[in-house]
Amino acid sequence: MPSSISSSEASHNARSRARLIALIAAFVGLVVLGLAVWLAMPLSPVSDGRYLAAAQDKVAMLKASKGEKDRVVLIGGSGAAFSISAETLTHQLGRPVYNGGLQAGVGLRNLVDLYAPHLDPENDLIVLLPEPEMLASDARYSQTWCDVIFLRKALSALLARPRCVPNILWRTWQEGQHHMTGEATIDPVYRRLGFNARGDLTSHLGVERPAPDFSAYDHPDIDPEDLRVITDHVRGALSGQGLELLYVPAAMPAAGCERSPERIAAMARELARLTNADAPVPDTAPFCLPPPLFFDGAGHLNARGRAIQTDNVARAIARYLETER
Amino acid sequence: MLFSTGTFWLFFPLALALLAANRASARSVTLQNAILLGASYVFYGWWDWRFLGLIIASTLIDYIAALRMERHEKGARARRRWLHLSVAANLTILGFFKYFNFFAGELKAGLNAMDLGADWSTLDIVLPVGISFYTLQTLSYSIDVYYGRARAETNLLRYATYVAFFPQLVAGPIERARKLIPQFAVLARPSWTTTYQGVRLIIAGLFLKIVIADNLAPYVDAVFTNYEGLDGGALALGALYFSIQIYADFAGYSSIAIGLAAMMGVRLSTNFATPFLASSISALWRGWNITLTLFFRDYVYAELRKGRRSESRIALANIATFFVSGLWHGANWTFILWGTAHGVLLVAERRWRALVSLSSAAWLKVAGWAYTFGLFVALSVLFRSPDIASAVRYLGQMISDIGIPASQRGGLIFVALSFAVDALWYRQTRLEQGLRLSWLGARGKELAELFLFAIALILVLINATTRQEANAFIYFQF
Repeated sequence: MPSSISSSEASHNARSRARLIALIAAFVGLVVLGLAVWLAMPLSPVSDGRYLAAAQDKVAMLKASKGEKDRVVLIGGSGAAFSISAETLTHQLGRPVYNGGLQAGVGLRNLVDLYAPHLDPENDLIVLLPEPEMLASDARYSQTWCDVIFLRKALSALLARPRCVPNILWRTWQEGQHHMTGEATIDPVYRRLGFNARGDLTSHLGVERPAPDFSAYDHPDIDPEDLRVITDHVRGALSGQGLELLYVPAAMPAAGCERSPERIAAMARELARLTNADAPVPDTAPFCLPPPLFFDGAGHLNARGRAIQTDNVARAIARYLETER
Repeated sequence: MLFSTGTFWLFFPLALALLAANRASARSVTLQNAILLGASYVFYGWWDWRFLGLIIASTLIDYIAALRMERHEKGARARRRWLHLSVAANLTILGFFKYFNFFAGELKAGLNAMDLGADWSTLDIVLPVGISFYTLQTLSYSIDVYYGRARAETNLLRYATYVAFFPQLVAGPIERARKLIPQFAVLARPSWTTTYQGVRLIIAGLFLKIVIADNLAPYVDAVFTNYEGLDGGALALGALYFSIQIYADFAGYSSIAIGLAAMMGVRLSTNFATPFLASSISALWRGWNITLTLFFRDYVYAELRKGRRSESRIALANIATFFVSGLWHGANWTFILWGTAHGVLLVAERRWRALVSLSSAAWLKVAGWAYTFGLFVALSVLFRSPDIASAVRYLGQMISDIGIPASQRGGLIFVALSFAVDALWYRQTRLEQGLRLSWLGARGKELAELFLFAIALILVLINATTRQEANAFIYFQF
């Protein structure tokens, strides 16, 4: 590159600088325009009816019931949504129970952050039931979490996760297409309206599906360090504000439990520390269930499986409450 | 470290900042080269630090050999001996890592076919990324010094920076010493113009790689792994997709490399010039991986031809050069056959041109393009298939069952995008080149370019962040 700069080169340089600035401005301008469209455009029926859009309803549910005496809030992935009846637990325990189970891809930390402002340290018992997949896919920038931000039109959450901006722009583009084509097809099971007032998914209960094939299934291998980071975060966000926590294992395919008992034991050991430092490690055996009790994948139980898991959870909570008293 | 990952985009601004700090304060060429060399070794070591030893060994061998060569007169025996040492050392390293298993396997198969019972096991050799590229670069240096086309570099730091310069270290462009080393002898001063041009090249390269090549990858994988169950139309699409994928992947890499270097004030050679718009095989090769083609022309073809003008000698040199080019791409008969077939086509084309004089009518250009592109696509099946038998089955099934594809049509959008990029940015790796939008008027062209690059960058970010993992560049495997 030449070291001496002629006047024509200097003016060329100045033009290039202006063009570079204009390119950056055009990029920023298009991004801002895309975000403005996102915020201004109403959700299409496809997006508004999406399973993940229930995040909004769950937040509203927790907000509305905040302050209820002895409230129990279940937090987990879709395993909790599909496989536990908060309605039944409410009757069995004699306490108001709400199901905050959403989707493993959201990640436990993001979900805890989403619900934390609507939890009540005075009244709430938080029951954590993360399935192994939820811990394995726990990423602060998961695409599912970006989708939640998109559906909630949560600008402040986006500012906290700017790497979700491309996802929001992409979803906005798709949203425009949905509006233009009038697309309105929503999955009969995975839909926002599939939840009841307590946050339980019920749309799958009347649907019969063949038992999933778990012959090759194995629980994800979670790095102990990653798990420690997750539990530290959860402890900070929940115990830190004085909330009472209880870890209960999620329902898991028995095939995985037999294949990798050590993975399940390590996970249970670490998560049990969320209850309190001296909490006994729960026996995971009753939570390892055979294929006929599953609906369409690991963690998603059918009606029969759901009754068993609800019973498991009821017993675990009752045992905890008894010990605490 | 991949250009298409977040890690690289944290690393590169840091390197830029260090270079800028040096320009602003110390203004030291030595420090500049030390920063570039350090950054290049970090860049390479990120993948596997153990193989840094190979680069350093290769650097030292050629550095010493070149200095020793220059001590002796042209034509002196000692001068030739040092060249032979350099060539042998480079080819031994390359041969061991890239071809040992191939030749050992072939020898074993040959001995077993003759009932000589060879039962040794092959070694588990990892191919170091970029070895084929930097070895050719160091080889070209030694040969150029031998023939007096370049001076031996006395400054080891400068020479090491030339060998390891990170934008082009792992997949080219393959730079000649006389072009790149002098740029490390002065303080590089990137201007706003080179920075702007660099940014545009980087955006264009990322667009080619992340939006086009990476989106075609699943289609290509789906077709080539299950080709036996697909109709001929889908197989033709698979071959078309792979051709576009490898082009977008490699041209994208080259574009990013040239852009990164430009932002640091270093000018690299053009490596692609819209080869898929060519209307002859020879024109296609003049625009495809140009620096590699020139390397083979100057160091293999020229040596084989030895100045002779007979057609048979030229034909033989052409075919042999493409045979070597095929072998360079990979230790597999598929690559060798692919290269040789291109050599044969080139020779046939040359003979045809000598016999028939054609006008420059537009329809002839279109026909030439169809023949060139069609043959490239068909031969790409060899490039992508694991062995010749699979490639033959693939091609046989494709030809015998050709028709409207029943599946895999979704990738056509990326094929169209690739041609749109080519049409808009003819010879896209040239720094000065703007988009072909002059029909919009000066102001309109400027605005359109601005928005097209901004939109391209947004699409790059969308595709990069919504994909689980970044795909490695295809040419890394060579």
